[in-house]
Amino acid sequence: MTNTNILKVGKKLSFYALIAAAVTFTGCSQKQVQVEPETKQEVKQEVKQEVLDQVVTTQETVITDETIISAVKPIHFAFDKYNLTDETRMQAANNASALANLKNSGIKLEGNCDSWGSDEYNFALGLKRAKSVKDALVAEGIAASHISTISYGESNPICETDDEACRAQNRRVEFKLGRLQ
Amino acid sequence: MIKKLLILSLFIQSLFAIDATMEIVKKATNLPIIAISVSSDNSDMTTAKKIRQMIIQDLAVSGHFNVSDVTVNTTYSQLPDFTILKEANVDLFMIINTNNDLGKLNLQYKLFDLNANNMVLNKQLSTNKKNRYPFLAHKASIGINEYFEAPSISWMDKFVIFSRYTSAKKSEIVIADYTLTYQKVVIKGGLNLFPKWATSQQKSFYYTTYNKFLPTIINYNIYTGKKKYITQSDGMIVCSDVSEDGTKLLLTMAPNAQPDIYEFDTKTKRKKRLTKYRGIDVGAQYVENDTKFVFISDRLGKPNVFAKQIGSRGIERLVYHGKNNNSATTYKDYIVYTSKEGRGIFNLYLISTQSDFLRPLTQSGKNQFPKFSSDGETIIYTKELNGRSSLGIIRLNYNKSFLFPLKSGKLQSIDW
Repeated sequence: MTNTNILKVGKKLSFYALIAAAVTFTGCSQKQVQVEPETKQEVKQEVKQEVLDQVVTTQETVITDETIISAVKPIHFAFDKYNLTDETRMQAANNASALANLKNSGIKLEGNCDSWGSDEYNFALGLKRAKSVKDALVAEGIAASHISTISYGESNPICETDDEACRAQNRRVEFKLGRLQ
Repeated sequence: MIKKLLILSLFIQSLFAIDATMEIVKKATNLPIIAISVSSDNSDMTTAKKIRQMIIQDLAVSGHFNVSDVTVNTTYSQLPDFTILKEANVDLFMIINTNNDLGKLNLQYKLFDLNANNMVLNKQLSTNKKNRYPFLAHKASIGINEYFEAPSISWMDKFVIFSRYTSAKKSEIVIADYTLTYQKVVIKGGLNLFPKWATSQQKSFYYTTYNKFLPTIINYNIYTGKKKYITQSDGMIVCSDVSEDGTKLLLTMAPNAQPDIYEFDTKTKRKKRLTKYRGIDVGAQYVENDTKFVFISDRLGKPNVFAKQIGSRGIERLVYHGKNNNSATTYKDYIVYTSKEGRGIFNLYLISTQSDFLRPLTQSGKNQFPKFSSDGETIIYTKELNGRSSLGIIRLNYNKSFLFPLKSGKLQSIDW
């Protein structure tokens, strides 16, 4: 529900509350009842609280599996290596904490390489990188059956300039949503 | 006379490159000189000139002829003026004529031996598809080469098959002639890689597709367009080699994300795991009548070249030079492999498994995917230099190499 709609609902509720209050008090025969200012204020407070409750509920449903996976950063590797360092192992552990909140999806780990070396070897290297990350996630409590691995070798670069900064970016494992097995 | 000289010099040259490189270079001065002209009464002059250029290139690549740039203006039916040619020390004269007849492209050619004052060849070749003219040229070159009984260059008439990256996670598979002049895309859409001819007849090929749920090997018939599912694997799958009888495949597969070598029987559909190593084993090639295979492994810390007898446990290291050798091809007792040297440089080396012979084949760029021709005299490979992707040809007995650039995309893998 958008903020505009929430305000409209709030206004409607306030309006109906006031109408209801007016009808209640004018329905009393012969006796004119004065609505105390304190009572009007109490009604307004109740309506406001109802509206706030709806806003809080709406915010809770925004966090989806897509949101979780998009916040998880790729893990990078040194040239020709597929082992995790202390730093990347910690990063994998942090990623595991976030990924534990996935509700309806598994995790697909995509291994990638820079363009140095034969592509068949690089496909295997990418897969070993994905496996290293999988093992780290499993060690942090993620079910192995929830994780699949695939390698794209050097077929999926995120940059193509011929320098070490670009090659380092390409040597990575990316986290994607997979099937829940 | 010319024929005898050529046969003698080529016999000496056919020593397999080991210590005869310098001898081969010296002997190049004895090669017959050939001049090639297009007849003045060609009905398709544009195509005729292209074919002439292609034949000139073929004969240069063969290493069996020196090509003269002398031309003669004559019709196809006329006898050419031998005087001009003899003054230019030309030994052989070829005249070509092309015409289009009922949708067919015809190539006629005559070959004259000027020393014998004789016409020695008079042939006609045809194709239904005009854009296949490079193959007419290659066939003509092979015909001349065969007449002189020079070492075979029949590989020139074969298709080369390659995959090229067009963008991230997208590639296409192309069949071409070895100069990449003729090209036809046969598989496109998504990620399709590692094409490998199924037989020497080149009617179908295996390739890996990522367009299904799991990486999958498909067999594709280039004449019928029929696709046949072969097998699939988690993680990755590549067909690295096919047995001589075509019934068995050497695959790199990775169930449980562990890449190892498997042998797949296309008749029984059964797989047999051939390596069990916790690191990387890839790129297997059959050797010794398909009883053994050579492959790449990082079992000693860095990728290198090893061999294993099928059915036995022992692994043999084959290469002791270089620190990072990540692809290889074999022919009898010879191996050509890629070795990483310095930043971004990958060079090819030829070694013998029976001696300490070692010969560098390239000097710069990223040279990958070497493949021996079926007769072992030529290597095809991919080269990337200054951002440009090319197909490379090395004529091992003649110490010559040639590059044919790709106009777009990046070569991923290659076979012939």
